[in-house]
Amino acid sequence: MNRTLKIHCLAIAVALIAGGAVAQQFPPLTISGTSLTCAVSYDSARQVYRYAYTINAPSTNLAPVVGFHLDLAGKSARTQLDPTLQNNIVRRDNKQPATTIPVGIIVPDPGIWRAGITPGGQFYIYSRKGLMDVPAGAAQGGIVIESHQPPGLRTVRFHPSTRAWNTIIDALPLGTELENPPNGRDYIATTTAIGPADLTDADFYSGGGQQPAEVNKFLRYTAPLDNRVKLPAGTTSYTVVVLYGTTIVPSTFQATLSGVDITSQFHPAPGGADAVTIPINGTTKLHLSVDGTKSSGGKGTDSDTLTFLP
Amino acid sequence: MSKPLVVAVLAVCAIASIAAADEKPDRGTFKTRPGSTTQYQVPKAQAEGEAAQSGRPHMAPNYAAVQQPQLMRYRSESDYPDYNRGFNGSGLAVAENGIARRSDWAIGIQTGTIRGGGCFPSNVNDDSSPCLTEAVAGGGTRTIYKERERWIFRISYIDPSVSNAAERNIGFPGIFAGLEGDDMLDYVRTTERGHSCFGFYIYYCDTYGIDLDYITGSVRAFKPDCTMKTAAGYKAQIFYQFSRYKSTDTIPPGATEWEPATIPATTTRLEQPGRVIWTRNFQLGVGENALSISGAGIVNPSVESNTAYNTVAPTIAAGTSTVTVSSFDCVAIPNVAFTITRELLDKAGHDHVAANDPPLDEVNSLASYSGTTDSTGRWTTTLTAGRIAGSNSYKATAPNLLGQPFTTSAYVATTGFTGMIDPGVGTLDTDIRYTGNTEGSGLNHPGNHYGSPELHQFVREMATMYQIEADPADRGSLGLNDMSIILGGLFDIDGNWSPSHFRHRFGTDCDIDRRVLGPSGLVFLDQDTLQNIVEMNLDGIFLHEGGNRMHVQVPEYMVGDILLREAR
Repeated sequence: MNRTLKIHCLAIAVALIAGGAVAQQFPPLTISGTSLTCAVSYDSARQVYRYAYTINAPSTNLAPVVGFHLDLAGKSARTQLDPTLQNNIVRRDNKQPATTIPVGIIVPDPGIWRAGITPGGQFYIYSRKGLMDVPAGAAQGGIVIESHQPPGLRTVRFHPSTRAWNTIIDALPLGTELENPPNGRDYIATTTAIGPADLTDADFYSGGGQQPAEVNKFLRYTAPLDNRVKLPAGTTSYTVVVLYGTTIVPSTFQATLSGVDITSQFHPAPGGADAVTIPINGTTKLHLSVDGTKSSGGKGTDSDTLTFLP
Repeated sequence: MSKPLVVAVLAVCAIASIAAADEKPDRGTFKTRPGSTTQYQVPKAQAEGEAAQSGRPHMAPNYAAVQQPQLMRYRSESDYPDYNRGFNGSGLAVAENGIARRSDWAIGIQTGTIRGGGCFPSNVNDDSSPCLTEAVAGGGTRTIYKERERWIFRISYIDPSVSNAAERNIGFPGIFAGLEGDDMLDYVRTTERGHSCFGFYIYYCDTYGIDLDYITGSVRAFKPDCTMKTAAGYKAQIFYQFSRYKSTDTIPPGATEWEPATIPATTTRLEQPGRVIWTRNFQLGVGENALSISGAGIVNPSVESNTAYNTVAPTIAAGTSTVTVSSFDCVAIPNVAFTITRELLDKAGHDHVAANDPPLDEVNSLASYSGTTDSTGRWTTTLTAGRIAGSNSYKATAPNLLGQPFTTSAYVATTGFTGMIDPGVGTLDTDIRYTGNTEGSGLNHPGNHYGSPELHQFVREMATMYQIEADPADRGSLGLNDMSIILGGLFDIDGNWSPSHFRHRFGTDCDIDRRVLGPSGLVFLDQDTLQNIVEMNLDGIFLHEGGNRMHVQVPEYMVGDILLREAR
């Protein structure tokens, strides 16, 4: 490398301002309000959960969203390319840990979208050359993951586009080296989203209440993990993740939210799951019940009330 | 029975057992007995059973038949000769009144060629006297030959601080503990089957019909221990005797079997078996590590600038180590005052065109450079790494260690990330090229493509994916510019020991050229595609640098593993 000029960001700013430049140097790329909503459905015939994702970029975002990483770390070693799971892209990933949860990947347009699994075991998706970066105030859906694993809460990281910086940096003389160059990772937005999880009994909340214990497993939850949930001030919604027992009778399922019937928002199926976002308006009570068959052959009813306290 | 006789009997027993095995010894080597340190080097011709040139007759007494006798100190077992492997040893010769160390693995007498045979002198005390002749019946004379010869090797000690102190034999070990004594080599002019041969080899001389009139080397040694005084008064000697009589002869009344005659032992002196043909007086000194300095060999340099790994290691703390100065020689030597000196030993990849040295503190430093050992003979301080890779050498010097000045062996402390590699660009690595300073000489940093294995794998995967994802017109081999120098640490491009290349410190970063080399030459790289590959496909770090160049770093989750290996 040729002789390097050591230039600090402040010095650059001073130089450009002195030269008449008025643009703010390395503008922030905040995208902290970005969320990933997920609609979970269950294909009983294939015993496959489908996770349909939508990236929601709020109008407060200061940069487009390039894509996201979703944690798929699991607990058990499995064959990574599962032929029973659908893909519409060419899968080239083969370096991830064997304990990564295997998934199928379906993108809106395989010609534009790139997706796969990182060597660290994270699902990634982005659009080629930033063609479908999600601007502030927009949403991008059509991203589907298939898995044999039920839903749980996973970590998701959204990446901002750094294009706003590139023009500034590229204008610097060849050989310029910044001591602390701007790093897009400083603006990665990390949150949680629904995704396939490698769960054991200990990871579920049964809702409590019924005897024998097997009846309590007709309805289990990975969110919430208690029947009384204290929510942060200002919370307006909550996503309940419910897993249905394998012997439930779907037609007996009922759901009310603070007394209002919302049964239709759920899709009960033996062995299936739902992730349903409910509005929070003051103290909110969600009541779910379903009948199922016990191992003895008799019937039982699992009835749970979940209380959300804003 | 005197000690020499004990040794002789043991040697005979050993030879008998070897004879029973009916195997010829390895070429060129013979050990006299199990547990012995004695080895003889037999000439190649005899060892291979060839008819060797006989040494007979030597028409001179041959007193000076031991060539190059030396008192040697062997600091470790690996220094001791192993003639069987063609190794003549790497001991250190001790001069007259010189010092051997109590820490030595062994101290011994090593020789070159020893030759047997020759006529019996007319004056047994005169080397230059003519051969003895005697009249024979019927007229005429016959020359008398030495029928037997023997060389006795001895190391003894007389305590000079005690008047009339008794001389004590301290070498060489027998097969039984506590039977330290002389070591003897003997020679016979005529064996039962008519061959001339050294005693340890008679079975083979007679079995294979060969003569062995000389050996090309010999060694025997003892191991000093803590019971031996560190003082003068030690002496190594070689005695020599010869006899005109065979062992089966009857010694005529009034005749002396061995010449020169053995002087019997007294209450304060050992017997003297014949004439002393070589002597070396020496002292036994304290062990080489009577004063020592030690600590970790490697510590990692500090990285004070932002690494971009904000969670795992935004900066890297300097490695540290406890450095100990110990005064101990068989027992603790308390209260030894000393000072520590430091000098630069290696610049670890910095080959600055302006051949200057780094500030030594920027390599590594001690919290204190002088002290006094405590009652247990210990003193400690802390070594702290700087930000520049390299090696400093530390030595402690005591002006008075048991009455003598003493300087330790060097303790070398290397600052660096030592697990980095440069695998080079192989013929199959068609997706990458090394660029930047690649000439290898005449540069400030000839090796600038060192990195963690994770980084080398990362850039290869990145380059492979780029060939898949980029538009055909944008494809080509990626130019990999600077990574880290050999042991990492400060990468001062200008060779002035000041920071630049702020993140190229521990093998996680690589600069990428702005143009790829495609089929039609250099074309600009598609930065958007590469950025997505680095950040999304590989979860790494991608930074734009001035002039359209780029900088990539391995994923943060890899850095924990790298630092587990490298931080010390």
